[in-house]
Amino acid sequence: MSGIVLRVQALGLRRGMRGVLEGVTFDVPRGELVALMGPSGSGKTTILRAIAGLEPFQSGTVQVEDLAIDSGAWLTPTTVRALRRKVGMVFQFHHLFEHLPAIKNVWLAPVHAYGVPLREAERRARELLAVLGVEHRAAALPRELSGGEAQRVAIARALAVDPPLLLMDEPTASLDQARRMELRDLLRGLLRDGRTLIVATHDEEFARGCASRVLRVMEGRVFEVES
Amino acid sequence: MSRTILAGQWLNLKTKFRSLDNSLTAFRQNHVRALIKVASLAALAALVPPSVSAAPSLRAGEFLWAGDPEGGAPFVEADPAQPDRLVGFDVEIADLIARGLGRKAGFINVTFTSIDQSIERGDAEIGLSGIEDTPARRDTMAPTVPYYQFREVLSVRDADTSRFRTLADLRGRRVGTLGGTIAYEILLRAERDFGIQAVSYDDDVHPYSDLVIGRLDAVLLDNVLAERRRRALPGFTIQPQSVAVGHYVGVLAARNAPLRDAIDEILRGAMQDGSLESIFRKWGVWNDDQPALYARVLAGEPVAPVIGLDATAGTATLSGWESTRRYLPSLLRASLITIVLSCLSMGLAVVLGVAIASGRVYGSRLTRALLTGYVEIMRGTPILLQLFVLYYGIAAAIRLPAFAAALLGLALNYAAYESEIYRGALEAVPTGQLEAARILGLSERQVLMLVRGPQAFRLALAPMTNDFVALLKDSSLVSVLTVLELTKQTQIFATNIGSWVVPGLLCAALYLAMSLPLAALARRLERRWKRATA
Repeated sequence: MSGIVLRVQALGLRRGMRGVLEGVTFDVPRGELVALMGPSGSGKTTILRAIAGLEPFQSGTVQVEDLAIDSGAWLTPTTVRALRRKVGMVFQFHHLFEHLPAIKNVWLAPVHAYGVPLREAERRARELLAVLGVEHRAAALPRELSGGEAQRVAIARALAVDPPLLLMDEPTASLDQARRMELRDLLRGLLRDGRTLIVATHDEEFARGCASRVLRVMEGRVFEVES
Repeated sequence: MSRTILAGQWLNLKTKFRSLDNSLTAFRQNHVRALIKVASLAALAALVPPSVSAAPSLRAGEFLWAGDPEGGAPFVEADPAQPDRLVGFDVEIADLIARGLGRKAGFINVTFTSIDQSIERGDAEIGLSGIEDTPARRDTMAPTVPYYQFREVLSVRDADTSRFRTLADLRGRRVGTLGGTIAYEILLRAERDFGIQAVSYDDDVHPYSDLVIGRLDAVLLDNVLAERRRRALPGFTIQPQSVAVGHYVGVLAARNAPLRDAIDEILRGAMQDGSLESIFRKWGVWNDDQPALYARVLAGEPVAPVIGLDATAGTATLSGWESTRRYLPSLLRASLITIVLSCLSMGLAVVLGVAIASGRVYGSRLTRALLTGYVEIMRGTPILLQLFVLYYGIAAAIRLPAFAAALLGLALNYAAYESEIYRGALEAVPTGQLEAARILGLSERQVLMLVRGPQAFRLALAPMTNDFVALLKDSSLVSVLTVLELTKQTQIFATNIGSWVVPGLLCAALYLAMSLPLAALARRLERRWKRATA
């Protein structure tokens, strides 16, 4: 598992009587960007949520680096804590903390969940915002940000806790063409830094432009499309 | 809805609710009436031209009289054998007067302390319910000739019989009585003269039960009431020495002086022919004081309203301005009690409300079910009932001081409402933000403290302010636990001067002086936070 950051095996998830995922199996090697593609409702977001530990699944295994999560027993607080250190997520609708300015959105978790000194966390947050091109919006509240700015702040927030695996749900949904290009360059930069990314999208052009591998999701099943 | 209630209907209702503390109804009426009067009567007084007086809403041919069955026998009460019938010596006197006028008596139920105002409004022609002859009534109403002489007597626990013989023996002790009576006026004087602590009640039953369980050291009330309670409740002794002597009268509106004169003639006739004597004998309250009183009334001799209380020092004889000046310090003191009680209750309600809301959002199924039950019980039952249970109901097990019971009662009730506000606000914070916080590694407690709580608090602020203003006014209900807050003090003021206009305006002004800055502060906080998150 040394080169594999994520291994999903025979993942099955039901909501009530309805099967949402069935037999989902794939690996993601370190430093790769894997795109999950498929129509709305096919199960892309649910796969990301299951990997992030936000949704319990009924069968199969999710293994992130050396941490394996089996189906059945729900996560203990210790497992959850360990998982949080390995997996970050950027949501489709960003879900920034509405009452906090952009920079505090970024340094909140490092300070309170990881015990990073405030000054150090704030410096790092400012750096991340600068890398993502939104340093000038550090003091702005989420409602004052454009869709693109909010997404960059959300990415900075996810990167601030330095997870080896970053999940992104529909990152291009609120971006125009120019911003998509910028995002593509940004993700390539993250890959160069050794991050591993899984991006759920139905933006074919974007996926082909930056993914090293594309997985097709259809009715809760995953098919390898191309490398 | 007409305020006139047929005796039968009222008594049926009374019977149905007899299992509840029978004081509750009168207290509720008392306070609803008091609050409505404070809020609206004063304003109406300013709007309605003085020439327009309240037209009596009387039924043709009926002689309507007002009384309070709360006091019970021997004045007015539901007949235990036939609860749809009223009995008592005042009932028989009302019948006697009605017969003399060639009319049929009809009864309306009015809380004791509001009888004067009700008569003044024109709800009934005469009030009869052990109503005392006072200088205030002589100044502002048209009272009848006195028809019964009573003595104000001190009751003490059996063990204290030799220790507390007079008010002078009760320095630093709590002495209770019915508010707005001569006895209360005497106790206020004794506060200044002997350093006792006067405690005002809205009824004449609980002073004696509180005396027996030790909340009071003595009760001052008339001998008729004291002897009636002693028959029902063991454990206290009535001291033989009278503190003052007073008289029962019927009370009519000043504009009804001609009718009063006619009633006086009927009463004098009844004194002469022995009808009154036979009524009082029947009810076991005839004594040697009455023939002497009747002789003086029939001889046309003046009868002082009260013997043993200096009437010139009372507020009734003072000008409106002077009595206001005299009452203002006590109104301000009562306002202080209102604001302190409200602030402490709200503080406790907020803490409890947050705890309940957190339990309902984060707790186990059992915790959630228990807390939901608590909220539904507290919201679904009257706060007055809760206050009664806290103060009187559990007194045998836990004897809370009045202020503590008031504080706790308001806080426990408001905590239920606050918790619903906080629960709603907590649940209004988008789930996505909570998931984002969890993904970032924040613990559930940190999610609550750093993400969910602060946003929920902002959502809850406006309804919380609203509740605080409501609590400020609901604090008037605690007067049923003998806490002398603003509305109660206003009521005493109004009863003593015989008018609600000035006390009502003053009371409303004081409530506004407390609530408006509060509302302004809340608006400022809201603006500040809105700016911070805008």
